[in-house]
Parts: sequence; C-alpha cells; structure tokens
Amino acid sequence: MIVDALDFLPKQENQLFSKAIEREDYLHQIQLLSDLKYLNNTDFKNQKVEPLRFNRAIERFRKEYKQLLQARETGSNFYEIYNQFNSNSYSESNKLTKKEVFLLEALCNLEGQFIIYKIPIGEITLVSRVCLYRYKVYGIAREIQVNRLINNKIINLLTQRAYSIGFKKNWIECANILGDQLKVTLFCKELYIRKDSAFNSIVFFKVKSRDTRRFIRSNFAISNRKRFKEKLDNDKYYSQIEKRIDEDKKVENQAFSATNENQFLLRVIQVKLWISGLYEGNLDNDFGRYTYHALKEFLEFYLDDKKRPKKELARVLLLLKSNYGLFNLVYFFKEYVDEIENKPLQKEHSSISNLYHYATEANIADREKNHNKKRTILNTQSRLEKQLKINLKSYAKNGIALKQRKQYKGDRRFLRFFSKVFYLIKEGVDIAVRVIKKLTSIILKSIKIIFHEIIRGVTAFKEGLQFLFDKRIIVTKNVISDFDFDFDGIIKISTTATVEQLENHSRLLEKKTKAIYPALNFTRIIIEWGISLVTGTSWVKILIGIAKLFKYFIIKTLKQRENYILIS
Amino acid sequence: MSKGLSKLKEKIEEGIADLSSLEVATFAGSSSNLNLAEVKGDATGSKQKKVFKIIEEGLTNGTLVGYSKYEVDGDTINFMNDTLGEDKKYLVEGHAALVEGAQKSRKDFFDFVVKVLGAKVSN
Repeated sequence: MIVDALDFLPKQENQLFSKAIEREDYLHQIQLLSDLKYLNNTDFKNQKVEPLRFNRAIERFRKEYKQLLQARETGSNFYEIYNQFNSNSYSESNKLTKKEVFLLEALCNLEGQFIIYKIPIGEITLVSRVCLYRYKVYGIAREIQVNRLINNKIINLLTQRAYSIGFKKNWIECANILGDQLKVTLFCKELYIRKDSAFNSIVFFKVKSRDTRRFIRSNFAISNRKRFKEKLDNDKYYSQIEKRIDEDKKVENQAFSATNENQFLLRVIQVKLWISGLYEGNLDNDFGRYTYHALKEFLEFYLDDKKRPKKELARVLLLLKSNYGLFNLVYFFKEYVDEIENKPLQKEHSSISNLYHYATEANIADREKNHNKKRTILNTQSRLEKQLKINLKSYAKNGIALKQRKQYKGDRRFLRFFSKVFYLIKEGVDIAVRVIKKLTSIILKSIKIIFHEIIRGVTAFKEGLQFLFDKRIIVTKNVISDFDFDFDGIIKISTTATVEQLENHSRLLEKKTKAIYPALNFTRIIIEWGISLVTGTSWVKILIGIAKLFKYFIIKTLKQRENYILIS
Repeated sequence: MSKGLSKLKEKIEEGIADLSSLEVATFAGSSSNLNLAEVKGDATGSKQKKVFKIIEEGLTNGTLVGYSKYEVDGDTINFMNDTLGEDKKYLVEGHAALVEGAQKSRKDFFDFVVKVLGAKVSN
C-alpha cells in the first residue's frame, strides 16, 4: 500500500487507530454475516471465527447474491441497490469487499431500503434470510432460524404469526412492513390505536424482578398517575383507561400484557430505541434497566429546553403497584416518533461527523464579534474536542468488545434522530454554544457512529488510492482491459466476443472510470488535510473530516429515495 | 513531511514522467492464445507496461486491432486494422471507445496530480 489516511496522524494515534479499525471492520463483518446466519450467533459473541469458516460464510453469501443479480428485478429490488454503490475493490476470499459490506448493511437495515417481491419455495436464498431476519428482530417468529429453508410449513407459520399481530395480508408484505420504520409506525397507528379497544393505545408491560422494580423506583419518578393521565386523549375511551389505571387489577393486566399485539408493540418500542442507537440491551420485549435508560436518554436528547425529561418520562410511563407498567404509545408516537421519522433529511445532514466537524470549526467563533461570547464559544469547543479525543481513543482501545451486543447497522435513522441538532445549527451563531454543549453531552452515545464513519472514510481513501496506483484490470467475458497507473493500456479481445460483450465491457470500463472521480476528489482533500496537519490541525479534526467527507461523497452517489429526500 | 506523504509524492512523480503520452493497443485472438484466463483476478501492480514490447509479443498470438498513441505536444498515431473484414469491424470501434475512456480518465488524473502537487505536496 502506498499511503494510508492514518499516516497523517501522529505515530501513537496511527498505531492505535490502525489496530482498532482492523478489529472493528472484522467485528462488523462478523455481525453482518451472523445477522443473516451465514455465521452463528456464537461466532459474534466469541468475536472470532475460524478462518476457514469465515471464508465459507463469505463464499455462501457471494453465491447467493450473485444468484439474485442474475434474477434481476424479479424477486426483489436487489439489482437496483447493487447498482447504487460503485466500488473498485477486488474480492478476497477472507474478507468482504466494501461493496459487499454496503450490500449487507442495506439488507439488514430496517429503513425500507430492501424490498421483497417474491421468495422461492424449497430454497434458502438471500431474500428468504432477510425476510426471516425481520420476523426475528420483531420477535414474531423467534424459533425459526434465519437460514431455514422456505417451505409450505414455514409459510403457514409466518402467515399465522403475521395474522396474530393484526396483519391480514400475506407474509411477504408483512416482512416489507417490518423492514421499514415508517410503515411500522403507520401499521401500529392504523391497526391498534383507537380501533377496537381502549387499551390498544396503551401498552402493558410487566416488571419482572424485584431488583428492576427497585432500580426503577430509585431512578425514575414514574409512579405519578396524575401526570400520566395528563397526556391521555380525552375521548370516549378515557374513562375506561382511567378506571383500569385506578383499579390496577393484576389478572386483567397480566392477560392484556400477554396478548400478541401487546408483545409486538413492546418490541416495536424497543426496536425504535435500538435503531436510535440508545438501547443497548437484547431485543426481548422485557422492559428492564436498558429500556428505561434508553427512553430517558431519548427524551433528554430530544426534548425542548422547556420540558424536563423526568416529568416527560412520567407522562409516557406509569408504574403500577401490581408490578405492571403502562406505556402511552399514542403520545410517544405523536410527540416524538412522528417528528423524527417524517422530517426530510437534507444533504448537509449526511453524517454525524458533519455535526462534529461543524462544532469544532474555528469559523463559528470568528463570526462572533462580542469578545466574551467568542471566548465562551472557544472554551466550549475546546472542551468538546478534548472529549472527542478521550472518547475516540477509549473506543479505539476497547470498542464494542465489552458489550458483545448487536448494534443496529443502518445509519440513516441515526441521522433522523440527530436531525434536531442539525436544525439548531441553522439558527445561527447564538445557538452554537447550545449545540456544542449538546454534542458534548451525547458524545458517548454517538462515538460508535462516528467511529464507524471514520472507518468507512479511511477504507475508502485506501481503496481509492489502491485503484489509482495498483490495480486497473477489468475482466468481462471474452474481453480484458489492463490499464496502467498512467492509463497506458492493453486490451485483449477474444475473436469469439460478440458486439454485446464488447459493449458491456465498454460500459463497465466507463462506470469504473466514473467511480474514480469522487475518489480522486476525496483523496485530494484528505491529502490537503494531511498537509495541514503538519501545520497544526488536530488529528481529531482530520479523522472527523475524513468521515464527514466520505459520507458526503457517498450520499451524492446514492439515488434519491422516497424516504431519504436530499434537498439541494 | 510525514512518511506517508513522502511515499505518495514519490509515487505521483514516478507516474508524471509517463503522463505526457497515452498508449493503448487492442488485440483479438482466441481466448487461449491471448491468455485471457491468466490475467483474471491478478494485478500487474504499478510497474510500467512497455506497450510496444507487448505488441511485439502479442502479434505472434493475436491480431492487432488498433494502436493509438497521443503525445502531449499533439503528435498522434492512430492505427486501425482495416484488414479484419466487415464482420469484425466492431472490434475496431470497440478499440476507439476504450481509448476515448482512457483519455478521459488520464485527463482527470492529470488534473488531480496538478491540484495536489500545485497545492503543497512538493513543499
């Protein structure tokens, strides 16, 4: 390798981040492969896979996605997703390429990117894996392994389970709803809220252990009936719900809590918190410590300054004496989820690194004329940068190794969650200190996302240079073109090549060439940063900048999508 | 300057020497004669190709479809094999299309080098 983006960092940080990036990349690949059951969950927990098994898992994945490519648009929109990402990396047997990682992330995310049209019976395909993965995430078909062969028995079971949560159409359509947050929210609203029963707008949960109950009581003030009732809709069901709260009958609470619909809604809340990057427990429908923490952080982060998180939590949650709790789903959706999910994302919101990049830029202070205010901005910025340094280094040292819990791999939802801060930025210099303080407070939560963005940026830089300087061979059926670093080339064509094959080759060459342009720009800017580092730019800024820039180039190449509106 | 940057600078300068010209040669022949399978998945690395040497070797195995050379001062050699016959004319057209692609890529790369070197790598 000629040069690495990390070469621009001081020696100590270079070594630390090189090791960390290699480790995180490996673990990221293990999680993605184990999510779709090319590897086992124990592989993920052990965080190590025997090389031969790892290679076999990659081979299997490659075989299955190539089958999908051949089928073109018949079974899913995979072909469209495949063409959204240009990469010049070459396949290696022991590692997924950047494009393959992108594909797996697109398949495993729950943001409506991958759409299933048809699943063949009697086979295990990539599409069937994704479908079963979604059922599993929502706990609807927990006992069915993701790599299970699809047969009539499985189809009947999935149809039955989908029906049990109120979904009356076919099992594939249900999988598409589960794989799209907007649709999940809509589904919950249409089917549950205010339709058949008063209690469908309220989710019931059991506090299982005495320890958890004690923990909740000492940390969260959520036993205030009056406050909880404040946000209940005052409609025809109000008196029924109020009666249920006041009477607090254990048997009735238990019966309601155990219904399939209620269990599904509990999981929906957990999944939404998981996707926001705040829930760090297992997806299990249990409202334990992790769920409360996540909810509290969600409210703390998202609340307007006028509202207090503790009070707001008591409006969403109520703990009853019977050891059962209530969750006001209508209020939670209306007040928080809708705003996050329906607000369009703008181009400048392309990454979390973008936020940090903004917050650490010197020109914020430069724009302020008042000397005292200027000093406050600079001090706050300096604190943020210090925190970033500490947390990035700590994450680089320990990473996710301590947790061993699966992280959500799509990142557009994170962006939606952080969009509130993006909008604050637009409000001008006066708001800058507030934004920087907010970022300092959520740094721990966002560090894994930033780190992931840095990994992608550094890898892209490496691959960009690799394509520029090392490999430029394009092989298609009956045609090979072999270009040098300076584009001198030899083209070999078999006399049996058809016009179509030659045209295909030409198109591929053009596509690959086009992919160089953003790589060239990206590489150039990073080199310039690398040079400025010599003159004093901090390594944190370089890393954050690389991540921000990479996301910007990626977003530019992605096609516009309905649920991801890029406003120029 | 960091070690990484020095290496990068060296590499770019090495390429600049040859950026003044562009040479592309296209061969046609049977798959086995052209060793189509041999190159698959392999990389030649960054070592410079001696296009004329390859043409010389290649002529014993295949037919030269076209050869194009563009010098920075405007001198151009464009050889298109017109003895291939009407049914193989598309090979010559294919050569022209691929050369066009290479020219475009080289221009972008040249701009890149100028920007980077023009910036500060040479410092």
